[in-house]
Amino acid sequence: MPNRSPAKALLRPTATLLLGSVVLAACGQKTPQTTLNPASESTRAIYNLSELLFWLGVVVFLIVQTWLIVSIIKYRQKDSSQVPTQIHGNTKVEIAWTIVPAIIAIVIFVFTFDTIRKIEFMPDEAAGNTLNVKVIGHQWWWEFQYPDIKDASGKPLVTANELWIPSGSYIDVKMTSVDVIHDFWIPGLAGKRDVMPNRESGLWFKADDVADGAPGVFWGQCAEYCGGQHAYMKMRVVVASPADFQKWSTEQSQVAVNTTLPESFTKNCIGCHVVRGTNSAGITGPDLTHFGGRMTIAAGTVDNTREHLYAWLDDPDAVKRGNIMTTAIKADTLTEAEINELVDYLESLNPGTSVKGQQ
Amino acid sequence: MATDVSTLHHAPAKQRRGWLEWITTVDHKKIGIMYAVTAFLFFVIGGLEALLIRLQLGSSQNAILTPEAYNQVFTMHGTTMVFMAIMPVNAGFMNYFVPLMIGAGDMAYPRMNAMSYWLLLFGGIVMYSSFVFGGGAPDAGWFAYAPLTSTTYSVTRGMDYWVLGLQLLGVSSLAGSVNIIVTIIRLRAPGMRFNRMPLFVWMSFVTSFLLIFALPSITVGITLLFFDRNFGTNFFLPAAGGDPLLWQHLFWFFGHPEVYIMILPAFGVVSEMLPVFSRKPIFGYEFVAYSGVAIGVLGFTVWAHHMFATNLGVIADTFFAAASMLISVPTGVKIFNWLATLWRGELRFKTPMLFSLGFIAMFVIGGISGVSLAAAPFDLQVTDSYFVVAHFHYVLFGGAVFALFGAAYYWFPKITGKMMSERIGKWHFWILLLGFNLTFFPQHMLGLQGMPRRVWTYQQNQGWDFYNLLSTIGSFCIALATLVFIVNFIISLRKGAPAGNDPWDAATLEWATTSPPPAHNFDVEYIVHSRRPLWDNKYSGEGRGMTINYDFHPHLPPPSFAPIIFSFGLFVLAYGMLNLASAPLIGIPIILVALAIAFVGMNRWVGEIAQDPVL
Repeated sequence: MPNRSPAKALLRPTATLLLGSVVLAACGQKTPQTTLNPASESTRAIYNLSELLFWLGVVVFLIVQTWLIVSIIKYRQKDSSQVPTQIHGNTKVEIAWTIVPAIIAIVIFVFTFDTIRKIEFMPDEAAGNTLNVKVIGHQWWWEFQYPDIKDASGKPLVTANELWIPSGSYIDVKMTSVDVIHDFWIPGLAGKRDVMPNRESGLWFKADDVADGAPGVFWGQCAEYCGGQHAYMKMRVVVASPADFQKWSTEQSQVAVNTTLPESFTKNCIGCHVVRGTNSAGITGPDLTHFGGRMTIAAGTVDNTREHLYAWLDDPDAVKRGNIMTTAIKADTLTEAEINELVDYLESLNPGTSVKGQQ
Repeated sequence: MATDVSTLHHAPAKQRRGWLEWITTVDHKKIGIMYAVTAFLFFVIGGLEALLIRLQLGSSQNAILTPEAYNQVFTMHGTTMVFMAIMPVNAGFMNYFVPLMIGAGDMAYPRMNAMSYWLLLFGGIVMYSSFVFGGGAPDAGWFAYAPLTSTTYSVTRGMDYWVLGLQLLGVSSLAGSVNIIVTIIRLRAPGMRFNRMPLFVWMSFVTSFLLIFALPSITVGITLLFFDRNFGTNFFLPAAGGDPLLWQHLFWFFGHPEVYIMILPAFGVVSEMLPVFSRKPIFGYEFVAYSGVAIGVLGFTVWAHHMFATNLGVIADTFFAAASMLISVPTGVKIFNWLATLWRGELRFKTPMLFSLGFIAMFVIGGISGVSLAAAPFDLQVTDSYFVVAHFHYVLFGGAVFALFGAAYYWFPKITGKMMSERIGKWHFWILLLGFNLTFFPQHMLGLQGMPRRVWTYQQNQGWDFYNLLSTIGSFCIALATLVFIVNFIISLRKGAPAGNDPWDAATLEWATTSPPPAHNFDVEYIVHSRRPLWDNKYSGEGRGMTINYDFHPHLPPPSFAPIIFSFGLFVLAYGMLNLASAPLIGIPIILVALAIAFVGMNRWVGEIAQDPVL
């Protein structure tokens, strides 16, 4: 290939590939966890800031790359014996291009500070319209407590991996971890916040209004590396209209809809899980009181279907390798009959208000 | 040309032959070569780890790696690239070229220099031996956040190997930095004032100070971590009142300057190459030099921008956002000065120049995403996502690695006396440029679409498959480009055209001696009169850039076994420490043997100094 420069040889396939990627991306896969579709006041404020950053970035990018490309074309060596004028610098010009980035930085800072102010301080109007939520990180699942909503025994309502909130209310989230550092992130509703074992961190957000009977589902995920199954520490946030949320929370604060524990449950599950209204009171794993209505199994690992639940109970390690349930349930721990019995029971724990099967 | 002094010859110091020549060398050039070759090997290993990562993430719900294996691989990828590839390649070039560029015969402490190299090699071996002896490699990420690093959550010995490997690498870097600083302060040729030093020397000087101030922080951190893991302390363990956030401060107080430790030498080499291939001086020497100093100083005031998500509070968020944005000013100045250096030049697009131009084009993208990450609220969305992975690869790969490949092409003729193939070099550049962008640009999108970092897999319904596939294809282009470089290197080493002393028509002193230079570097002493001594002698008139003192008697220390023996003692010590808590009956004897070996080395070292005043 003596006459073909690598630049030219690579140009066409690259262009084809890039064009192809744009076309394909335009066809559009659904990205349920995107940051680019803000649905709360704080994520919209962040999104507006990122638009400013993006366009300033485009300007700087174009200036530098244009300057670079023009130089490359214009000052390509024509005569190898030629020594160009030896310019050592120009203080005025250099002071100018010290000041210009400084001004850009100041502009960015002003908008950044404004956004920090907007997303960090909860507005005064939040008083009286606030729902408190406590997030507890576990390797590798999420526990959610509602200090304002009491269950039948007067304790705060507890759920796992699926957080329901009312739209239009200020959600005041406090979080802590029982083991390592996790990070609470629902890109559509709020930026990240680390969930730490020895302190309480917090954030707040207010989800945009949704209509009655049309709750919105947001995907979230642990964003701080937390060990083996960091990838499968996911959650769903359901934004319901205030009326729907009221209905949901009333149902959730009841005891389980089926309080007759099958024998296999008593034998294998009650040490680690709570089913309210029964003697199952272990706290190592997620609360299962209303498990049947949840969207996913094992913190977003698989959708909550009978088949997935069967596979999970058959061999949890095959579904989510290394999770803590594998210390109790191995591939040969439960018989087929026991698994079926457990699936029947767990799927029966659905009080009614649920978005299971959506998205 | 009067600068060609290869005909003059002084009797070299007694040299050993064959592999012993390398084991015992205290010649900064041989040490520099060993640094660079070792670092390149680690770069290849780290690159293979990256390919494993990309293979696993090439499509959703892949099972090429288990989560445990993936976590080890990404931890070792980061650790390797930072501590065993980029830092030591920088150290290698500094070793070889700082003395040459300032007209010195060697580093200030030749034996300590050899020790620095051996500790790099041994530190790397300690770290990688965890795969074999530790029951698994380190698996808590290169940032090693507590309490994930505790024995409760990181059950193999991997993190202990990580700590001890880093300790050896830390001693290596610290000694190397002291050496560079003293060399620059003490051994400059007459007339080589600070404001005449080549910019690569300036950046090496700043980098070395950064290392000296930053390393103690991580040294303390990993020492406390080792105590937590082995001797029952609770510095970072929340269950007993320790504070995991303390680790983050200790780590990032080191970790952020570390970024500049990796990139400033790259700024330095680019500031050497651009003027040479534009046939002009650097535009605004003072601005380029002092902005490097400014970046170094400001680099210590921004560490907590890695911790915005930890709920630092409004005041800390605001301060660290502002300080981080401030760094864009001196960095922007550098970019504009480089661009102005091209302006009205006579640009020659040799391979080093292509890499320098590629460096500017890619680094600026990393700079732009960097400023946006300094905006704390935006950071809360994209930190710990693939956006950050894209950002720092644009800085450290598009920036540092591009510049260092350029430096390899630029200085290969000086080191070997042969030219590298331009034709293959251009293929290398264009494949790398393509592969690099294909790998890392889509990761910006992935981050914005909510894909977290450090996940061993992702689900099909997340919509992340396509960009991940592009990224994986790109990573294999990078691998291909690296292969092309290796081929070029081997072919050129065998059959490269003779380079001569000054193949690029360059400006600085390393080109005023033979290629490769003699053991003592220069047969005469140069008295420097300008910033571009060689260029000015060629183009402004003989004697305008530098004059020659022929009454010059270089002195070199003889080869020595002391550095490798001493370093080997520390190497063995690491294995003793590993066993101290778990099996003291094995650990204590190993430690005693290790200390004896180190003592033998030290004793020899002191004896040699007594006979020969060079340290």
